[in-house]
Amino acid sequence: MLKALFCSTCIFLFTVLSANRFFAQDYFTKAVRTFSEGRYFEASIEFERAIFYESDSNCTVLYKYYKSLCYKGLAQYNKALEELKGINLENVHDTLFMMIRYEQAVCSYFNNDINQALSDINEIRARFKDTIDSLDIIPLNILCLNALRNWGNALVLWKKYIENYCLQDSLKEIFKTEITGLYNKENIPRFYSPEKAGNLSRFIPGSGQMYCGSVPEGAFNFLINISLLGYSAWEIYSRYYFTGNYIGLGLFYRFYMGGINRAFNLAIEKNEEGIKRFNAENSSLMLRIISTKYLKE
Amino acid sequence: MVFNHFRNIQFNCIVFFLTFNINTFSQDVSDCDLKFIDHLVKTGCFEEALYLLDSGECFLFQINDSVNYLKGWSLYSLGRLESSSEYLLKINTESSLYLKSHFYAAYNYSQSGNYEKAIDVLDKINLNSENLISLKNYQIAGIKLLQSDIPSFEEWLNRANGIHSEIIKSSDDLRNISEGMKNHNYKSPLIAGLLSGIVPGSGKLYAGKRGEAIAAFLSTATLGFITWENYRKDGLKDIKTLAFGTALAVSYISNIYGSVFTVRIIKTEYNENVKSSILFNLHIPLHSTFGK
Repeated sequence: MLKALFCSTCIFLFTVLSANRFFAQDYFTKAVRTFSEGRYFEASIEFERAIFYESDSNCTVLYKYYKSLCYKGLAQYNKALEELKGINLENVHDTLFMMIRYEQAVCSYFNNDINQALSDINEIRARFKDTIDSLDIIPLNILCLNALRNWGNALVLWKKYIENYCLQDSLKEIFKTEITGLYNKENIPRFYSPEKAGNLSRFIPGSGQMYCGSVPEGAFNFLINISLLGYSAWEIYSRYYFTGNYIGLGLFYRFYMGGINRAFNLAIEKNEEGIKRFNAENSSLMLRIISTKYLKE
Repeated sequence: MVFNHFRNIQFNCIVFFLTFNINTFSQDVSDCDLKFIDHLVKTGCFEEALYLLDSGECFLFQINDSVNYLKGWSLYSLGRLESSSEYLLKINTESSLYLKSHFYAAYNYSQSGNYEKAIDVLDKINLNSENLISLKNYQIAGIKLLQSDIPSFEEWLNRANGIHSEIIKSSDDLRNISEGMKNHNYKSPLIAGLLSGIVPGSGKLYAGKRGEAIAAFLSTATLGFITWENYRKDGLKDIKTLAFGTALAVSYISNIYGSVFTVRIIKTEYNENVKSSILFNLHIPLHSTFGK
């Protein structure tokens, strides 16, 4: 009797657990199919369902990784990072470890947390020293370095990338020339110091905007300020003290302070725009290199 | 014979477990997966839970109490109170979720300002325990306070003299709120407007906004001086006098309107604060009775 009960209990537990695993894998397959159709929200639910039913921790790690990809697809980078950070990386095999850390770096980059992205990249590099896998992280590393205006190191990485990438020698030379051109002094986005822009506008209204490259805006600001100052002086000279002081000087003060703030913010805006444009050029070059490799294959 | 008996038991056990397992396997993955939806609700993924509950998976289970409960609860957590009540009220009296869902449906109506409906829902709940009757009376007392009906509030609160420690504690808080309401003097928008008409900014000072009052007074006074200066030098028909005079008139009138508006805003703010305090005190006993 006891033997029978023991056998039955074993069968029961085995089948219940294996049934859950069976469901988990079924849901995972469904989730991958939904994900490949670009229905990221639905896919995230299916991945969560697979996680819920899965008893194997190794599989759970993979499902969580995929779930984070869904959030990335939905541009919810914070949620993607939260999901990735919740993964226990102990006993995770190298490839999956690299995939997870790489995704963390990508999401941090899109979240404008460049230093965190670089820290994740460095962790991958420390674990996979001089392996072919570590080549895959170079494009993201270059984009991060560009965002931090570390042009020298970005150029070194570019050269390393092309040197180690499976390309013909003639193509390597072409791409190297292109990259050297890209990192030419004239092509590198100019840095506009927000403090300098603000201070310039403090001394000569509108000059901060001009320094940031917005000459018409700077000229307009200068004209408004000088007109208000002139109006104020004229009113005071004509003994309209209240009008001159409160209307003329009051408005001048508003425009003057606003001009300083605008110059400061314009410099930040222009810097971001410059990096965005430069990284877009970098990305299109990266895509060309990758597509050249695939065409060759 | 004993041996055969054991063989029979052994056979029956195996048949039972196998049947159970076949049933487990035969569960189609496209069924309404309430276990998983419950997990989503518990982890705060309400949008996801609602998506599954609204999808084809659960469509055939719309009459199921658990489906309605999970849907109502998700909607409640997302702040969609009217729809939440609609689903929570669909739960049958036989269900173990009946009391919780109906009490919360009434609470949702109280939150959305539909007080009559909230009382109606509470009235219709079938109760047999002293504790729950006390809770119901307490909820009605809170709704009466939300309606600013203080005598009815006191009457219902006396009926809620309960065993429930949370009710006793929250009742004291509600009594304090009602005392505060009784003693609160609402500022008159008419007086604020009149004061601002006499001295610009004084209406806002009366409303209790000292900074705004000073700013309003200074800006109107400055415009007044500028207009006077231009009038004195260039006369009434000069374009500058007319422009600054118009600006002064706009500033003066808008200041009167602003004072009236400020008093109304302060009144609304006070009412909103009182409402949220009452709702908070209504929620505590609900939470401790039915759990999260």
